[in-house]
Amino acid sequence: MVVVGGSVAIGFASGGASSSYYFLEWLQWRYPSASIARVVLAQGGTDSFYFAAHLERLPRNADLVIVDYLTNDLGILDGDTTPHIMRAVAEKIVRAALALPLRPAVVLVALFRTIALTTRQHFAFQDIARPTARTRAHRIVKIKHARRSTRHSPRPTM
Amino acid sequence: MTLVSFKDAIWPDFEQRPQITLYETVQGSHPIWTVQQLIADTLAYACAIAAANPDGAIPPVPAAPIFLDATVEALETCRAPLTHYTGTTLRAAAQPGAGWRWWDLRATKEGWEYDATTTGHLQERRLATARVRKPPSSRPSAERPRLAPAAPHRLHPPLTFWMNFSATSIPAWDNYFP
Repeated sequence: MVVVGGSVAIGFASGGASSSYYFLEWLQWRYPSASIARVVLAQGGTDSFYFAAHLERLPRNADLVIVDYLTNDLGILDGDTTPHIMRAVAEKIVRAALALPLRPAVVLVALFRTIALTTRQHFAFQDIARPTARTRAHRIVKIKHARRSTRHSPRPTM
Repeated sequence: MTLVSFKDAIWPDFEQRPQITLYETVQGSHPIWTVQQLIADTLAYACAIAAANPDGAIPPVPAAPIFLDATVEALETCRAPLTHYTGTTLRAAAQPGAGWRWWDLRATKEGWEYDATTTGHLQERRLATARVRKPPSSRPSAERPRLAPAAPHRLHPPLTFWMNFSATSIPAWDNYFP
């Protein structure tokens, strides 16, 4: 499992662990005989543009790539960055992941910013990953359908 | 490929703002561990759906980007790291040059910042500006000269803005671009 993204992806300031850590716990619980490694390439303060220039860091033996940059991508909206450019850069990362030798599954995690600070422009910008997901033909999973599937141990866990 | 969308579940309509307690954050836009847990739940749910509903043959990756943009295509993947910085080591270093200042308003994000507005060309100072200043190459990657590591004060200002790089080794990988 490979995780790319910003500070949200590493669970910064969460008071516990990151989503990928909890997910890894679930995978190890669900598949106890499997050996699962998690490679965290996420770095605080980075966005899709950063990783699009560092695609060589994707391990060639990845089976699953989790991409979680949207929160930071929203942060560069105030410049001359357009939704089209952001869709292009998000797709560049997805294409690189899909082209890895083991043809890994790719998950885009789309997490908006603080509700109180989200403008209408930010709100509209949150959909930058959706067209890419749709055209890559796969599924969109809603959080409201997924409650309590991984909670099998006390929290928080570091 | 799966898209896990918080917006779909929590805030589908801009006019209908959700309860703030549904998405508690600290230090900016960083969700607390219960939200991280919720994301993990969704990842597990997506995994379960995929296991129960296999897609059969894996579709090929489309040959060309769908959202083609010349600026994005001009981004070149670093074949080898040119710099390794940490905020702690940078703090002890001298100011890289005119126009640089120390930025430490948020923990873990400290670093030297270059104010690109002093050049009169750029209005942004964030990482995104790197794409503007990095010229595209018309030559195949094999013909491009390999850049020598540069001293910090010689680095292009926008490319060195965000210097919270880790010092971990980066594996070589030259086969991505067909």
